[in-house]
Amino acid sequence: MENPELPKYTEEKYPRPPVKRRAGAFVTLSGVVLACVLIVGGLFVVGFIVFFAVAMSNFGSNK
Amino acid sequence: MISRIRLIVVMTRPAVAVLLATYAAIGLASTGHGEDHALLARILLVVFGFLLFSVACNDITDARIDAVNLAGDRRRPLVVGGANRIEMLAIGIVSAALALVVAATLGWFALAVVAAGLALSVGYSVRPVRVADRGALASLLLPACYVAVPFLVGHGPLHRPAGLVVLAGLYVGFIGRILLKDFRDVRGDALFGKRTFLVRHGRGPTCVFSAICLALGAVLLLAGVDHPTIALVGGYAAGTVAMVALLAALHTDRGPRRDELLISAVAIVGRGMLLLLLAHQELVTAAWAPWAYDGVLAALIALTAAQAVIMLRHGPASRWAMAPQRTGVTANRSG
Repeated sequence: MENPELPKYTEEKYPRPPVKRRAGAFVTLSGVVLACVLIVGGLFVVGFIVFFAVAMSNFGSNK
Repeated sequence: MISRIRLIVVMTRPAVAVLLATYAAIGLASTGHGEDHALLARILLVVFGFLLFSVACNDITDARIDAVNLAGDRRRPLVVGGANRIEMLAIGIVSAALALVVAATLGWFALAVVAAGLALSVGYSVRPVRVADRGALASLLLPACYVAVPFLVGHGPLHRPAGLVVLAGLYVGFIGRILLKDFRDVRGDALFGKRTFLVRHGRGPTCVFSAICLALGAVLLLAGVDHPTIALVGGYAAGTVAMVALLAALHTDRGPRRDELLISAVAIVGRGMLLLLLAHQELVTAAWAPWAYDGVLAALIALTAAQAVIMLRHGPASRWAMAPQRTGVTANRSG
């Protein structure tokens, strides 16, 4: 029934590595600054989408 | 109340919602009205209503498969027991009604597009049609829903060939990305007989086909956009090369966690390229000075590259998730 060779996408078998928050925080901060520049410059739509894009980087963006 | 709001946020799949909002914004910006905020707000209401309905359909019908592929994933309310089928169904129906009503205020074209999109969503997930089980057709139909509905609602009727070319570019690019989603789901898909492209053809052909779609999508977007610049073309060339390199790495199987990182990085680069296109459209319409234009595009390219590198090194981190509220309730109950 179940093919044992198929990979199991479970946290128990493949635990996530620890997230390095400092590097991520720097990139997020840069993105927020860029978003603010765009919003102040009158490009609200691009600014807000940049803001949301830097606020999330999670997998699964296709489903 | 808070848990209901959280459920709705989770159901919109924030990353997908941002992607669809970007398509809608690109469609609207193509007409030169990218900064009409009241109009965009109505368009986004339609798009998010459509998305919630589609997600509700998909989650309810895929509950058993998700229980295998995404066991314990708090982004799937039915899997972790954060909601039941009735709640999801109610949210889906109300969202669809909202999308149709607001679309009617945008005109007959938007109403027709949303009605067709909702019908396709049902056909994608629900038996007896259930296109989701039909491999290649599923890979073609889902992007048609998720790309064409937001873009066309934002853009309106396609009077110029350029609009159609941009839509084709977004569509082909989305196909390239949706194929990669199946790497995460391969186990449950194979188990439940879901004949996805990956299950049918394997890792190598999937990576090659995805790379072709992503590259073709980039070319079509550049061909369809007004006033392409060196910065835009350079950014797209760099993004395409990066995605092909990531897919070349994905060609070799070194474990699902590595697959996840590579696919996430491809998604980030793809999203960055869409942002680049949107920024180009709006900067050209707003007639920003060339130095400011180049500066914004360079910053977006650097930001995208940094996000992709961080994703490759450290992996994804999601804050939007459902708390497992009803212990012991699994998808088996709802499936």
